[in-house]
Amino acid sequence: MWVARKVARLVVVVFAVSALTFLLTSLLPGSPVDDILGTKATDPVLSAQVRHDLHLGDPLPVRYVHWADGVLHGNFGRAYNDNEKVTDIIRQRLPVTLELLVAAQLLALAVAVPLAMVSAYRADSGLDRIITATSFGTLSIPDFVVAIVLVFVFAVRLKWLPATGYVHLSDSVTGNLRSITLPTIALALGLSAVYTRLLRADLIATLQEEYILMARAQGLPTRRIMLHHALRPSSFSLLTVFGINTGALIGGTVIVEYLFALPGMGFRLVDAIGRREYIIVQGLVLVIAVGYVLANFLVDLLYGMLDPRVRHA
Amino acid sequence: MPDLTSATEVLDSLATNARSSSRRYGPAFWLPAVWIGIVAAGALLASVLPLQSPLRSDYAHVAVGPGTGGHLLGTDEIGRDILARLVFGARVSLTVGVVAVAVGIVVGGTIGLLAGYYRGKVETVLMAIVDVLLAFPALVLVIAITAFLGQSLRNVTVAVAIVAIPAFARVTRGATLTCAQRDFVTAARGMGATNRRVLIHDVLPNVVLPVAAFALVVVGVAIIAEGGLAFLGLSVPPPDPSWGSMIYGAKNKLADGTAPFISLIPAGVMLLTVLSFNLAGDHLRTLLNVRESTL
Repeated sequence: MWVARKVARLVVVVFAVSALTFLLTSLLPGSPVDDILGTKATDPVLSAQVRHDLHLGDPLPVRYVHWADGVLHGNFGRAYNDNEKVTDIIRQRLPVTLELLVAAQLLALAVAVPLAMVSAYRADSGLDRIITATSFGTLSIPDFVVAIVLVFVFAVRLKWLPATGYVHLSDSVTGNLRSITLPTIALALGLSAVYTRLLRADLIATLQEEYILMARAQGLPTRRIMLHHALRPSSFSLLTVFGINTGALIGGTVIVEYLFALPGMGFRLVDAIGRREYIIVQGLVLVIAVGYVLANFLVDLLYGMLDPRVRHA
Repeated sequence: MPDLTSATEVLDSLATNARSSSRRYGPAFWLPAVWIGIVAAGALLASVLPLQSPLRSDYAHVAVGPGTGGHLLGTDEIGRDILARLVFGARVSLTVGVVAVAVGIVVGGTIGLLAGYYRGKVETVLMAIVDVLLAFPALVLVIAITAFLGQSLRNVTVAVAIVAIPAFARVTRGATLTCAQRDFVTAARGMGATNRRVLIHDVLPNVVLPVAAFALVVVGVAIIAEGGLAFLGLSVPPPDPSWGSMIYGAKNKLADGTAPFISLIPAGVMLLTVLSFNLAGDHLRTLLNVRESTL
């Protein structure tokens, strides 16, 4: 019952998201044919093709149905200058974006969990204040500033890592890791600050619980109390935000991909905007938005499974 | 880019960070206030201040460091005065931040207030609209809207405002829900006050402060969003200065180490400004917690 309601909601939201994405082309200031084809709009064959593909002769709702029908059959549209299809772009570029996403999330957790535990264990100590203040400050630093400073220090001055470019995993494992190290750090820094603060706050609340006092009275070592008794019940909000971010990062890597010239979806999105390939932009936005909705849906389901109280709220 | 998720997170975690009252008006309060004041004054008075032109190049002094050739903060990669560009760029950042947030408060706040007060069908319909807007990742929605509308200060502001509206609706609804259950609201209704009167005289004043605390943090998020758009070539078109485009325009001078200050100065200014708004939001939140706990 609870799952059925969630699925119904998912269907409604996906429909609304697709409708809004479809309407993006109507934001174009000029006529769609002129804006999509640019200088080639004078070509009668091409412009007839665009008019036919987008069903421009039909009223808006009919056009939406045609468009949605195409999407459901795996036709997200294509670029008119080189015939590149949105589906090809996704197949080639989604793995790059996903690799960056997973690496950044793992690094952020690896930094945040120990910091939050150290911080929460002695709340208000000198170390806690330093960690809390640093993570607060980090939240104010945009990822693009982190990125260019990282390039300046590690690529230009120290020459440890490449400044831009991407090496495929199949070509060289170390080369691949080297090429995503700086972008991963640029993304992970802000994430780790968010996670540290969330987990710290929840840990502090958990550590006030009586069963923690009980465990302490039994003489259990601090490490064991923190890892086995406190961490798990404190990780709900962390897991929620972690899940939401996983969805958000599919599109949130745009700027970092662009700065480091990583051939992911975000890079192609910016490229398509620059080349006025509006159909490609529309297709990629749809994929990113639906990915985000699905990620949130899975977080909701997982949350309901982990904590039955949610299902009855 | 810190998303609105992190903005809400900042506020949530701040709740556990209530400071002792002795430090309530310490440097952490007045330093951000003074800095925001300076930036705002610069943005307002940019055209009457004794500044050099933010667009004209001084070809005798290209990419020179601070204090050289009569340029207090130096010149950028094509010889334009960095200080002048910073001050004029503040207009862009603050317009995007303040106008988008104002629209977010007015539209989103009204939605949240009505949804949280009337509940029932009104709430279901309004929050469904909000959920759909929230279903897009914020950055991608901003990028998509500016990409299709075309790049201009107005369109960037519109895009950020559209993203801010659902966030404000959520926060305002939350604050309204807690407030609407309080005894004085029940009392006001019991005395026969109309819904309109209760909303304006009893609910609104109690919702303003938490929403304002959130708003300060969102101004920071909006300033960063403008910077991100500038990096993708989607903010105000050149040659008009914005902090984002200043950082981005000179990134090669930073990368090759010849004149890192051209990027680092606007980056520092942006960072200080965002930090100041976050600290101000933090401060307001702390005051609120003190007030709530004494009630």
